[in-house]
Amino acid sequence: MHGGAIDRLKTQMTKVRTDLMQGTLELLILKTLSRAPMHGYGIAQRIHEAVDDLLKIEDGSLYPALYRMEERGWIASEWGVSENNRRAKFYRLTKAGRKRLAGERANWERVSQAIGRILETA
Amino acid sequence: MNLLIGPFRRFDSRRVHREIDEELQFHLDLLTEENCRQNLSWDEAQATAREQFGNVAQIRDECIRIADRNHPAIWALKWLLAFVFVGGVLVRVFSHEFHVTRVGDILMEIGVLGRLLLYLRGATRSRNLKEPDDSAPLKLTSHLTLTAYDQSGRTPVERVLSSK
Repeated sequence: MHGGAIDRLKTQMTKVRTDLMQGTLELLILKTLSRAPMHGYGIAQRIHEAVDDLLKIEDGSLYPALYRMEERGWIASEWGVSENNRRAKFYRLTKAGRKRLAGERANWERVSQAIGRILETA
Repeated sequence: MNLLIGPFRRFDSRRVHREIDEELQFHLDLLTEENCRQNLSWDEAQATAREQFGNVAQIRDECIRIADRNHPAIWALKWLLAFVFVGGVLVRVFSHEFHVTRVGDILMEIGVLGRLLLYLRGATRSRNLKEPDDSAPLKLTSHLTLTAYDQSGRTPVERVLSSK
């Protein structure tokens, strides 16, 4: 087998597939947009920076999530000019999105607290 | 001006599809540029960018499907058909003359058939697209697990939530 192919296979094998609870990506996007309006690439970069590559989120998976969130009215989008002078679509949090973020955040904290307690006592 | 024209732009499906392409291309281009800065050749940088991005065609299809679902013309048509159906019901209930009740029947049939055609149109369009399963957990590829703690004992998600 080709050396490069073996390396790729090894890399694949060392990666662990993780199931993240539904809605977690949306929570991360909402939190990221609560700082400032951003384009998709900016959101992805901000999330990657914050998690220090501990979680590898495929950048493309952000877009269907962004479109669904816009459909639900949590975020709104507008075309603008990016920092490198290119046309880019910027997303911002709406009032409904802020409300949703607060709710989801409280929910996340409650669930992680509950799981933490079980892990400590079991 | 944008505020006035903006909502009407959504009526143009081709424009919406072009904008999705432009948005995804923008992301891929920036990823490629970033990879080039890390001393990868242009081809390698592009290939790595595509790997980082995921299945471009599938993501594009999913975005188009969501955008089409929210097309203002479809919403308007659904409301119109609902009004036609309710109108038909009202005519049928309050009129006793044969010719008028027949009109009510026709209106009700138009309402039901229209909705059926809209449903079939949606089903046909999404037949070739992968339907995202909202009930399924989001699949992520990770070097470590979701509960990988940092020095302060926070998980990756908690780090994003606590970032300022």
